[in-house]
Amino acid sequence: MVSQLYDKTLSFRTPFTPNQKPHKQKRKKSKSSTHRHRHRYRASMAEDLVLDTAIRDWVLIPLSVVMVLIGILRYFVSKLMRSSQVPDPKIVKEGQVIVRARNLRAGANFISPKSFRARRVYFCNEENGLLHVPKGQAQNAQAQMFSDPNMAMDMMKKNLSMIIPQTLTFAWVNFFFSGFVAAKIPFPLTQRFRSMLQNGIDLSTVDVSYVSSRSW
Amino acid sequence: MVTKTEETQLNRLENQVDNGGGGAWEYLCLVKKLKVRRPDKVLRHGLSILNDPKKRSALGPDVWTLYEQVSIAAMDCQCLDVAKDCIKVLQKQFPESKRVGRLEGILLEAKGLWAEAEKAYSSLLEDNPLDPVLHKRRVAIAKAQGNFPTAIEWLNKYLETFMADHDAWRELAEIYVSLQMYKQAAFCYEELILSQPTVPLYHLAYADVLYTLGGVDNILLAKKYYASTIDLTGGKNTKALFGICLCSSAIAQLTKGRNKEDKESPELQSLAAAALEKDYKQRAPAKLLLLTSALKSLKTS
Repeated sequence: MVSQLYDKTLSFRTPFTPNQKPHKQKRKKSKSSTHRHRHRYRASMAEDLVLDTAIRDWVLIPLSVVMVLIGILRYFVSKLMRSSQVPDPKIVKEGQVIVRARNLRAGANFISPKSFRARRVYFCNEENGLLHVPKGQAQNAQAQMFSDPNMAMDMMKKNLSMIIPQTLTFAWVNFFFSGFVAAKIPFPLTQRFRSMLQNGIDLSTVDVSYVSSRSW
Repeated sequence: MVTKTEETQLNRLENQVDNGGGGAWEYLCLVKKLKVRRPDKVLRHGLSILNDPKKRSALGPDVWTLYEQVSIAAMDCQCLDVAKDCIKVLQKQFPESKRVGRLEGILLEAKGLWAEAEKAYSSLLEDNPLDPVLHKRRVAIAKAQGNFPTAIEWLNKYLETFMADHDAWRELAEIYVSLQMYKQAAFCYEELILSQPTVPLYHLAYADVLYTLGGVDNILLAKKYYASTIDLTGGKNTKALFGICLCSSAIAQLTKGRNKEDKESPELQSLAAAALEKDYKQRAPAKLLLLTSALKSLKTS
């Protein structure tokens, strides 16, 4: 289906023509009588726009490459910025207690009932059992997250490192690649997605499946 | 625990390297991964790599872990000057490193300067109180000095935080057995069985401790664990077979006065005895007579 869309014979266009009017770059195979179709049917699915190969070469591939590179860059930056966490003794102990309790549950059939009961009491005793959490004291995990300053700092840093590259990419794509149809989505969509996906294209007759490069 | 395939691979590599073939680096990596103790071989082959500058640069950043491994092997073989050289190189590369500090502590231990080593470890522990290796080294110092109660105390404190460390439980169990505190040793072995129920070694050790404790209940339980050991090893464990025979005769002796409830069928003992005889016939036919007479005395008593 993609090969139908990009036709090599029509590729004498220059690659970046950002501010041209959209309908000039849409090439149509003249023998499919889409001219007539367009006058008659507004939201017809039978249209098959054939797009320039220049679009494929110079838009989709660089955009994908840039996305991948930005992902890699983000990974390295986050690795640099991550502060090494000093292990909290309480957390370590809790982790180990949980492992031991899990072993007790799994291997309960291998030890004598008396020793099993003794260990169970050790863990679940009302007063000082290791796993016993008195009612009302069990803290909500999220409240704990916010009260811990280190973790809040970490979360903020992570969010920032996500947001900044996204905004930069968005602006760059917008600047370079606006105004023309970039690709066709293989499944049909409703009209509501039009404003989301066809940002630079000002025609309302184009099928919503054809998307501009911003949505990519 | 080292699996069988890994063991065969290790032996193969060992033979290959000993007879002059290549592959010293793979052998050293495998030894490090499996945590086996082969200090003389590690020392010999490690030094052969380290003293050759071409091979050293071929390793890249792994050369430092090799230095660490060789220094520990040298200390194991009491070649303290070799160890000292390695540590000096590491210190130059990584000043103020926890790992190098640990190695220095081990060197002090190897020299026998217990007080200095303990001081070094305590200061390192102040900076990072959650390093399991440092805790264990401290226990090792106490044990090497023969100071078992202190060793037990340190180990218990360590286990309060790191309860899931089965090596520590095993060490504690062995110390208790050597001090004849069998009840505590039984507790430790129970922990081990809980965490690794398919290792027959722990079942066997637990059964031994229970049999030593004595008392009908304990011996009944010991018999069950000997049976489970035989189950896990596919019937090849001679000690467990003997254990069953001994347990059955001990139970018979202890319950002589009471009514014969006979819930334990005598088949188990006869089966175990038959298996033992077959085993001895195969492997040590000279001692077969000794065995049969011993079993007969067990049955009659």
